[in-house]
Amino acid sequence: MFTDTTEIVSLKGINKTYNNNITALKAVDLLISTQEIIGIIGANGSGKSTLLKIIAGKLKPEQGYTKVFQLDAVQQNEQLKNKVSYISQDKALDPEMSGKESLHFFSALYGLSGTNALQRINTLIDSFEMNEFITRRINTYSGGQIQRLHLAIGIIHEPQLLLLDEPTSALDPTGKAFLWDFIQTYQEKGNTIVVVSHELDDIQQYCPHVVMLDKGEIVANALPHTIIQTNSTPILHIKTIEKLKDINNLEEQLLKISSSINIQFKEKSARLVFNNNVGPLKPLLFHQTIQIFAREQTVTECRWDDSGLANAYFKLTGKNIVKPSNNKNKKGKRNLL
Amino acid sequence: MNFSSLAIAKVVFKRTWLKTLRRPVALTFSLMQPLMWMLFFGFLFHRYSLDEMPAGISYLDFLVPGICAMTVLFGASQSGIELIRDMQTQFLNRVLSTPASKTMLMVGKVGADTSRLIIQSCLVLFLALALGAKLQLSILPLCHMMNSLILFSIAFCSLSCFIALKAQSQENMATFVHLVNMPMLFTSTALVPSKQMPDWLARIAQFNPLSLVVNNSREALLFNNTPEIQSSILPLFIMATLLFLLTSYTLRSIQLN
Repeated sequence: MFTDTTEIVSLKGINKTYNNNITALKAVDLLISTQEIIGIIGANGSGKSTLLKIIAGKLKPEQGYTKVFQLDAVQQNEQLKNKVSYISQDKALDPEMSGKESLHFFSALYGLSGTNALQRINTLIDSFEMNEFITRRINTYSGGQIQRLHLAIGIIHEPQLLLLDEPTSALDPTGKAFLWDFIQTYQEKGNTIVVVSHELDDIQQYCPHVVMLDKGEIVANALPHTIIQTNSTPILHIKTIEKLKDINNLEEQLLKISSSINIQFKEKSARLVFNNNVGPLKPLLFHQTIQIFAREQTVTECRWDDSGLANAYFKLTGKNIVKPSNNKNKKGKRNLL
Repeated sequence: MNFSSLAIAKVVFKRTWLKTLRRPVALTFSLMQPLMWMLFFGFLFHRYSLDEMPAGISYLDFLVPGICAMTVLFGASQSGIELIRDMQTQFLNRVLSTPASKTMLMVGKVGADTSRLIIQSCLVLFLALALGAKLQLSILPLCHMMNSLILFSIAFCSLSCFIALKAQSQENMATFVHLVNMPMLFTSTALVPSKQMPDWLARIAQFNPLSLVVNNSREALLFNNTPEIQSSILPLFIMATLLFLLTSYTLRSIQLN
């Protein structure tokens, strides 16, 4: 699916180690086709930003090659500057300038002049809804206004490949909605967008192609629903009105249903993590679990949670879904929090 | 060079000036400093005997060219501080991500700082006249003096930007400013004629570029003279060109994270 001839980014055997001997990327291969929206996810330090900087040609890998628009991302970086835009987490704006002055400044640096520059600036001001504040100095802007200007400057030269490093951090829900709307619109114009983010729900919703990194390695590279289908762990959430009674007995009963469950109890809820694929047994397990809990307390909610990218992320990266606790039974499976 | 390259220098020039004008306190202080030097030194040493100078030249007259050159030195040595601020806000990183010519970025930056310093030097001249200094103001010698100041400013703005790009911290930059300004001033002929210095200091002053600028300015303002270009302007031109090229090259090759 991701090997079509319209690929604009091609990474092969990328290894990157920082000076302090920390491996950021290990043997990374990646192809990105034109007009894709790709979400890159992973824990802090998993190599997401490094990967983005390597695509942008800002970092040179020790091994492997990076071709962007058939050009070497590092050696031929000057030729790529009009086609690629790397928009960092740092807003990189001059607080003493106004938004409009900043737009004029960067339009000139990208070689836009005269009527072209003016038209482009006015279009950006309108489409990013910045008319209200654009003439004020940037040090008076809100976080959302800064992010809009940051993005507008990043696309002033209409790059065909947009690399966004955690663009939703510190944005309120309106700001996030605006950003994802912008990403989709920009992609519809024929451009490619790569987004690094921790917002797994958003990535699942808006990115048809997801790359998951763990300790510098790509552990998943597919459609979100394919990743979820093949990697999620079934989790059953139960909520009750009253406090849970006789937890030891509850646990005993639940372990009779399936011996390979990790159980996490809270005051009025429980979470059952099934370690093997329960597949067609799901309705039966659901029914039996409700029955066990309903004997001593009133169950208000019981639902499966195995449809999210977060779930697959935990499984693929080997992160604990059930937090470790000192209060374990002899089988070491229960965690009473 | 094309229109687009000039447009780059123009927007950087404009931005540098905008930022200068938006910091009125810093601007006022940079104007007050040479005035204070002129007042305090001028009046403190007004009885100082200038052995090698013709009669009728007061210490204030003698001092004015030195203060003009000092204004340029002190201002130019701080030129790189703005670059450090741009590095800290990642703004410089963003600028360097554009395809803009790094040489034209430097032309805009050094051009703006130099034009500001030349205006400040002219203001020093007007203030000196207001304080009663007797100065010669003929066009050709004045142009010669301005050329010296411009080249000196280009050289030291470039050097300051070079140090800023290498040091990448305000603390290191402040050390450079302190290390350069005072020793350069006191080992030059800005405040005292070389013949009235100890021999060892006079020898250092002879090779100090600030002395060359001061001497050129003094020839213009006190004696209405235009010294030979080979000995008065050419060394400054070579120094300005080399330092400007070095800084432009450094800006092209710098790796900012």
